[in-house]
Amino acid sequence: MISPFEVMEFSSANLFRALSNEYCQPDEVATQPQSNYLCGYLATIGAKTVVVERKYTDGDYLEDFASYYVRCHARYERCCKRLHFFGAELSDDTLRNLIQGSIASEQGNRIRRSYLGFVVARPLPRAIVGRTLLKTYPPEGDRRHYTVLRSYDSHLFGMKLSVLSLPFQEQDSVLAACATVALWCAFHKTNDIFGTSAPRPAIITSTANSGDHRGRLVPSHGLIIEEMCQAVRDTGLEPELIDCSPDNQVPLVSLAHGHLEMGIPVILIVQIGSAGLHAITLTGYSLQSTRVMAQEMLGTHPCIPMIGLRINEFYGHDDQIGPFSRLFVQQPTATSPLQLKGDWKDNAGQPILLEPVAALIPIYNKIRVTFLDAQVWLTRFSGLLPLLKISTSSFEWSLSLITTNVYKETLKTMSLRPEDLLRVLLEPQPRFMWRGLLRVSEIEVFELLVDATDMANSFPVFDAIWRHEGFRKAMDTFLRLPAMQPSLIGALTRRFLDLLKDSLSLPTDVPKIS
Amino acid sequence: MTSDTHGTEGQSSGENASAKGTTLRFELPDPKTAAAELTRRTEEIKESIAAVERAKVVTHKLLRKEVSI
Repeated sequence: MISPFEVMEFSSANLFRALSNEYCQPDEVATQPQSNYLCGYLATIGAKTVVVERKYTDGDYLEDFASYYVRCHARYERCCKRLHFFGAELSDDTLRNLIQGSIASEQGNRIRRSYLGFVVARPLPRAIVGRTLLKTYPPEGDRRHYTVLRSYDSHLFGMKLSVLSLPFQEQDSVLAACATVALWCAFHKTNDIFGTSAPRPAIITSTANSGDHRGRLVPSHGLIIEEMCQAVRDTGLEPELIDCSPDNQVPLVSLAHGHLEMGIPVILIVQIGSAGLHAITLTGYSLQSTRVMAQEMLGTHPCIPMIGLRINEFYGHDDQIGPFSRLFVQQPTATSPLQLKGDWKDNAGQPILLEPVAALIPIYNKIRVTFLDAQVWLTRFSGLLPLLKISTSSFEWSLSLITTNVYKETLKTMSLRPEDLLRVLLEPQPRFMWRGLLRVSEIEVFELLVDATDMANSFPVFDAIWRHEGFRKAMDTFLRLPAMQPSLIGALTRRFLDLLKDSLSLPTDVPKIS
Repeated sequence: MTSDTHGTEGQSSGENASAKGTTLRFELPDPKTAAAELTRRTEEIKESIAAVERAKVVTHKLLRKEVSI
């Protein structure tokens, strides 16, 4: 009887052999970019052992099998293999003992903690990399931020293993092209945040095309952006679509950060040379301590300095490359817009730069005030800063979506005056808000809170929090100068000016909790 | 930001201070000069805001683009 599993030392040869099947031999597997990427990625995160679960029923593949492959003349298998990766060295006997529970708990826990995730190997001639859940690279201090993750449990013969990740898979170009796969990845996280559905790729392709379609649904050759938006609506969310073409004044890097901070996936649609459009699901970013860009966008109206100037990389699930693939931000110049450099190469082996075309963000319907709407109020306030001799090189805004619960938890770790802390904690807040945090010379001095559930055309700013005493005093004096009032109203609007003045006049009768 | 007789100074405590221990000082401007400057800047602010408003528009052409690689 063939053992239901095989334990092998991690190596490229063993990985390619484990991924192979009767239609795709190891040497063919070795030529595929996704397999090579996985090999390098797993080596970097410290894989030492591969455990191959020989017969595994994968839900996503089973759906595809029932929709398409079962009707093929070729007898494709309905079961996959699942490859589990560990950072610890394991033998066949050790694994058997672990499964049976006859192993010292300390050793067992050490092995479980070394779990790096799994890859489902599909029994197909191509697109063999099925659902993949792998651990991310380490944070490297405070540089790497993987924000679009969730906890997954997998069970290996009754043994529970956990990994913090986001599912990835290679497109099969039958039931799913890149657009479908990018949506599928994103919906796994939105399911976690908003409780909305996470449909399988075949369902996504089918429902996306429920409106007008120009040809066959299957094999799927892609989706138009409108169909991608429809797929988002079908999960109960709204598709926030932003045109990122060079003519548009969109600070894309900061905008992506603003959503990624809350764990909301951003589907970036990019132009790949002359080949066409491709979709990548962003899952995180790399934040440097100093600026890596002078500006986020071209144009005659420079954007206010935002945190995007310090982001040098994004991480994204690119179904043509691999999970958490790196996208280096290439800052815009006088002759070229902002571009991204990943692992895409042309026939000559030269890197192809990816040019952002659009960002599609699946968003909860209550979030109606957008990043760009909230940015308007930060822009107004920023107009005052040069008058206090605060140069654009010394200040920076970070604008991100946040829930009131998370924000109030975060407040307790900030150094606020006790009366400020209590006031904000006791104040009812909207469920979703934009938090505009102003730093001057790396010091957090001020926050503007914008109600994300309000109307963009009204006045959605609802609170201002002064984090730095010197800044507070300076602004308190400045905003009340009689000679400044007409120009302040012109720059800020009367309502904004009144809110700022009110926030500077702290109540002295804040209720005390006994 | 410099220090002068019209400046205000403050240092936030704990984790708000930068790692370099920077003390921020803010210089208050002459009100009349500042008012004229702010009026001038307001036009730039309005143009920036108008550019952001234009950026929110999504065209039919964009919606029909095919994502197929």
